[in-house]
Amino acid sequence: MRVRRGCDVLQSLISVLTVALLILLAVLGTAMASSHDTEKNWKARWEKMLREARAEGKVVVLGPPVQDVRPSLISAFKKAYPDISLEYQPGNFATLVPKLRAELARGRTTIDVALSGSSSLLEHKDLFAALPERLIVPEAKDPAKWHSSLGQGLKFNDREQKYVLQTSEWISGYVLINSRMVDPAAITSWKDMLKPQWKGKIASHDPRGAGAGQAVASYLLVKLGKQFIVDFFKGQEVVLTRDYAQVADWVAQGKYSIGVGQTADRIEELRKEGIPLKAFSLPDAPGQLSGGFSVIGVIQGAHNPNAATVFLNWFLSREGQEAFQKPLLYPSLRLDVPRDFVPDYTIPKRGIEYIDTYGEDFVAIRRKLGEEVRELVGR
Amino acid sequence: MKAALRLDPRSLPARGRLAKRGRLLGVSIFLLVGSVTLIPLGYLALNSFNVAPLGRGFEWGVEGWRQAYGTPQTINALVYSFLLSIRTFIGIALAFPISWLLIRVRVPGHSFIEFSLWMAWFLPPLSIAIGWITLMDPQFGLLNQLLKGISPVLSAVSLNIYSFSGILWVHLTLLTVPIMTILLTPAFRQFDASFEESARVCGSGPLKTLRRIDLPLLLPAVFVVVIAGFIRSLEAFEVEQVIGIPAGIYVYGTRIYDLVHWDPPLYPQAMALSTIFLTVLFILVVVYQYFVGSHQASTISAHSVSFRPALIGKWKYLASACLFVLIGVGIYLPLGMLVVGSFMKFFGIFSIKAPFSTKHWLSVINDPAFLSGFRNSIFIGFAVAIMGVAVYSLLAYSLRLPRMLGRNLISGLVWIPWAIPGVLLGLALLWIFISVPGLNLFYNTFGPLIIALAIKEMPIGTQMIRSAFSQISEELVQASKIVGAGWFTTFVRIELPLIAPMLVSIFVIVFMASLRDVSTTVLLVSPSTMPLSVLMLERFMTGGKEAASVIGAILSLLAILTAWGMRKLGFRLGADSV
Repeated sequence: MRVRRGCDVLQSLISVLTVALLILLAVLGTAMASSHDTEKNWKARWEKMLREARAEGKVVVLGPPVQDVRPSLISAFKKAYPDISLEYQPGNFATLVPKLRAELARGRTTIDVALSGSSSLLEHKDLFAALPERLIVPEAKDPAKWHSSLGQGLKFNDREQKYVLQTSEWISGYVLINSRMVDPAAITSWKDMLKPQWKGKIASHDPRGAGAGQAVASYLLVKLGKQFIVDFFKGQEVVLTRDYAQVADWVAQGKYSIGVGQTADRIEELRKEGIPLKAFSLPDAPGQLSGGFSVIGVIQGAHNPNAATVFLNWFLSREGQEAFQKPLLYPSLRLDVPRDFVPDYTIPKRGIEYIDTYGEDFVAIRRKLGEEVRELVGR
Repeated sequence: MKAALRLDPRSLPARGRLAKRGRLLGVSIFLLVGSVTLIPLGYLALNSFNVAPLGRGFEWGVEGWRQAYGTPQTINALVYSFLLSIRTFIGIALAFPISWLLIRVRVPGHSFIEFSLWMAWFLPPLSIAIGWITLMDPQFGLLNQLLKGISPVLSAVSLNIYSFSGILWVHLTLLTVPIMTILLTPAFRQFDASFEESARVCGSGPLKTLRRIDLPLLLPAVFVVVIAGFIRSLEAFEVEQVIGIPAGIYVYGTRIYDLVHWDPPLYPQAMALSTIFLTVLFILVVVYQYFVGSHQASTISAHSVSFRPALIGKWKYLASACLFVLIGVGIYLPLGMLVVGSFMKFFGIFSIKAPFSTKHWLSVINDPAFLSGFRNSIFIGFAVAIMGVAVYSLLAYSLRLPRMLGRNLISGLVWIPWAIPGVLLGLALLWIFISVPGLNLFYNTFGPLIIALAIKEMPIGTQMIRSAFSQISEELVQASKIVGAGWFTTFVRIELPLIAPMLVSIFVIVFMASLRDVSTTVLLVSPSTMPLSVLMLERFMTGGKEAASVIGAILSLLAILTAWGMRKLGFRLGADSV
């Protein structure tokens, strides 16, 4: 009797296991078939996209006004897609917005893709197309390949998580000195720079328009207050320029002793030639998390929509990221892109909590801060 | 009955038919010239009251005006524009004796000096400004380094190109003095030397003759040149953009450029600022046109019988030496420095181990943007020159027809583009081409660029061809008509061949002006239509001064070759023709 019951149990167990196995096989089979179909689908979709992009012939990208980015992007993109030409327009997205809106109203845009800072893109996010449906190549959007301060995955800056995508993250707000002229020990805080000895000896990227200068000034406004902005920019007669390379050049030439709001690429180029430039953060305002020009958006109703999609997918590839981030010395948020060229003063330090200025929550604050800075510094 | 009342044009008397044709032609030409001159002006004036973002309809308001004239920066820009126009008067004080030395005295080397002045006029101002920065930057400028090297006392002297006097200097040496001399020399050539000889017989020395005889007789030509120079000085842009801004000096043109590149762009302010300035310039153009008329009536003479040079003895060698120093320092030195700058690893940084390199030349030449810019420049230059010569010829021909309705009005309209600074013309056309249905099909193409440049060069092209037509004897035209040729045959077979050398010269001048223009095209270009001149500015403003120097050197080479070609053609531009 006991043996018979044991056989029944065993038989039931075998039946259950058989059913479970069959279900498992069915699920696996379906999954495999589905995966095969998905792969077939994206490839088919991608091929179609490529054909249409080739018919369009070109993609126009608005990008950072930094010299080496243009040739780097153009040659790498040409290597990947020789039939689609990349036209590069260096500039500031914000200044193009009225023109772009007028162009869109007439159905003919000058640019297809914008690479810029987040605030100007987020303020006009209605101009951009949703990116997820344009991210076709699985490898480009694979969450395992991307990591930011928010964790694993792609870092969208907008609340909807689909219009404006950040691809780099680093620290901005460092100061630059020529150690042949300035003893680094003489500047231990931002407030040190209010001393009379620095009057007329500081240069900065112009904080009155969008860009690195305004980002730093807005951050200083939050950390050190209005009076500091007035005392610093006006009281110290800070010389302003909109040229991203100019600040580092001036400090290298010894024309000005201290530089603010300059880009790392020019600093490193000059350092390679033996000019004793030193960039460092100061403890009373150690810097903010920035993405520089690494934020991408595809214009809604772009003149070359398919070529723009091809560019977007390529831009998120390892090759695309390297071609863009390397000339700017930005660390890519894509994990397989080398970072050995990134200067140490732009890498976040342990134990310091940085403000992330690239999220949409910060945009309203940033805009207000920018306007305040403009008022304080004067037009 | 109805048929009986209808007038048959063939039954009208010949005079009536001519009058009708004249009216028709006048109205057509007025519509053509008016549309390309008055519409951009009207657009700017109207939009100065539009406070809605451009491209988003019209919203009436005076905010643009209030802001434009309520900021000290704008007021400063206006003040600097007028202060810097002082160069017109300094320029004429130098150009008049230089012209006299070149034409009346014929100092040794006068031919080379004149060629150099022509060349200077063709050189892109931005290139030479870069050359001056290499020389006179207070920190790294080679002249300043040289002064420090010579003596510790001299090291206290700092030549600063980023200053009011620096801007004046670049304009005077590169633009103002050369163009004024070029415009004055034909007046001196037409000058009857017997007046001078009479003065000499009466005991006057060369300088007294220059002051008491030459100057009063040539005063109308001098006035024309001064007013033209004054108008042109108010629309300056490139030199102030690269030299003025680091010194905090904005002028009208750079302030407008600044406003439209603001974040967000301040178009209403830019247009409000433009409207007032255009009014001032318009008045100046009217005055200028009046003087052009007076000048033509008073200086073209049929009895210039003596062309013997004025004698100043051995002084002519000293004068020649001074002129060689002037062109050497003012033109060739910055040109040389531009070439040096193009080989610098980092523009203005001499303190590194190996400061020179060919890498920027290689990278520019291999840059697709350069190759495309080069093609675009050549295409735009040829297109503007071909279109310009055709349109200016027809305009000039029409303007000499006595029966054409509104001839004086149209003649005045032709001058208007001189009163519209390039940046503004570009801005107006940009929005017209975006907004007007039909025209927007040409947006982002070469069309707006070519039209803008053709409009910009219309005054000089039309007036020079008009002057060439006026030199054709009416007898030749009448003779052609007597043998049965119609107006078209006469125009093509008689008049055009006679003015062909002038047309070729206009072609070259317009081609070169298009090649070096920045202000008119800077707001109209897209990456695919960008010419070399704008690429040079873009490179300069985005941290690529080395690449900008390379492009400047290449453009300068083109300018030198063009000047040489002009010299081979033997063309001389006359003050009487402008």
